[in-house]
Amino acid sequence: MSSSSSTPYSPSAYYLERGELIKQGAEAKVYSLPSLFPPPKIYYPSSPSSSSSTSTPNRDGVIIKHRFPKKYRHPTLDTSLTSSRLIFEARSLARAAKYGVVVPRVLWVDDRGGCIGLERVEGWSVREVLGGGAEGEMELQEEEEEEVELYMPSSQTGEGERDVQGEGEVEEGNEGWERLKGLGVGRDHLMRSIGSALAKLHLTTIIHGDLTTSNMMIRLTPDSKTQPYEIVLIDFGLSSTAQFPENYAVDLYVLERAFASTHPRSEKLYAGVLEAYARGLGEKKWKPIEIKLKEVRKRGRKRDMTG
Amino acid sequence: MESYTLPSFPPEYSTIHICLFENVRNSPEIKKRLITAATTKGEEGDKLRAEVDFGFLEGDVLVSKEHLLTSILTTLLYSFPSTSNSAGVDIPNIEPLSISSSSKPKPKTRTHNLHSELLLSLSPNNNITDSIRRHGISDTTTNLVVVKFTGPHTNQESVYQSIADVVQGNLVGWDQIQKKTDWGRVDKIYKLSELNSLKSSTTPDEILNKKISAVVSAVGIKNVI
Repeated sequence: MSSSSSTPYSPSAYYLERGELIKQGAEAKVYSLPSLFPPPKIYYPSSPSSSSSTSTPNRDGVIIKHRFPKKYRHPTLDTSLTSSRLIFEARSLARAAKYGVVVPRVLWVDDRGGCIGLERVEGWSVREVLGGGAEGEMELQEEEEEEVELYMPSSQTGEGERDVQGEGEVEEGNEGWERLKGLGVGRDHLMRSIGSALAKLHLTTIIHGDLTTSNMMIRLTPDSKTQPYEIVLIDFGLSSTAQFPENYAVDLYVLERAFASTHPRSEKLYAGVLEAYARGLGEKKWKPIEIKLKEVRKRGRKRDMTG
Repeated sequence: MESYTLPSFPPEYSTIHICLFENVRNSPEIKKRLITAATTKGEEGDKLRAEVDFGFLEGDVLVSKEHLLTSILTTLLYSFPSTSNSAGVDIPNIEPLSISSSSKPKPKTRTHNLHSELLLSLSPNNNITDSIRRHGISDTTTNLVVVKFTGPHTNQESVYQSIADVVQGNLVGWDQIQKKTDWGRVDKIYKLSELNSLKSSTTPDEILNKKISAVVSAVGIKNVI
């Protein structure tokens, strides 16, 4: 956009070329890469005491989300919209992290280039684990484009393969669920974790804006003594900060609908989520939201009927 | 010393060398040299500046190698910002390096150079003096991180030699960095007190993990706060 340099230049281009496209929506394409950094050259003059092995158990994997230019918008408007949405997403994630909500780390913010780089969460989405119905069905309802449906299957197989690296057990069914079951985690436990993760998020006054079971990842935490897994909330592209119980209630309602449209017997499941949510939030904060939620259920997500 | 080459940035600055030293004995002297170099004018000054042309960081307030690497990316992204969001879409010949074809690209900085910019990128606010005081070398520094930006074809040995000429300390592997972290100071700098008061069901390890995430993300979004 700016300056005199004639060749368009974006440091993100390098990653986009090399990344593996794992998902495409109407707003953005999501790429996966092993790392933002190539393997280092190691040099130790005297004692090669510390080896070149990876320092931490591999948490290098990166997701690059590219908000590509929209041809249907004026270029100037497009640049500023893309940039401001991206910045907002990055800030929300950092803010959530600061208050202890488990979200991916932000590693790369190239607002002019429309790219944000996040820590790749290794695990399965809640939807995969619950064996949610037809993929894509829900997204279509949420006014996204058909590409979602087209690309999702490939993303699934891709993730599956990555996740079972070294274990050599490619199951046709539900690997995540089997692993959780092996750890003694049942559905109810999972629902409680989701509820308390949401409560933590809402306590920071951030609302997610697009809560679905595919935007919640389950990451195993073998090092932890207290819990075998954690819920990682992803995709803060539509997040905002809330002021009123109304906003939180709508966030919950969106998730409720997502459950209803993808998972059988969802009422019972979702009740578990709400219960844990209420406990996480505390009686005083929960009451007004509960009242609002009943209202929202009756009338739908939008407050007025014009939108 | 570890050296990373990032082909997405202009080649003159695309290779980053990072060293971690412990038991550094001459921090006050290094600091003095930096100040002298910065205040000396003319050719003499240029020579002094070249000798200490490194980023010197306080090791105690780094929480992980990822923390440092993220700050390096943030610095480079600020100094060489994207000029377009058409990356990889339909520009036939994407050659990110070609912007430098004619003249050496000059990094856009808020401070004097890329190395001081690195200090600023580590800081959660935009106060330059603060960033130097908190993240730069001080008289009491014993765990020192040295960063050098070079072109891709530099000899690691000579880069290391030029660092070793300045620093008197023991080079250690990067797996040591987490043992050096002074969390009291980190908590203060990045305002992490909220995380210390998390519910009792959270184990110290989990809190540590959350803190590292919070710090890394804070540095990651530095350019857009």
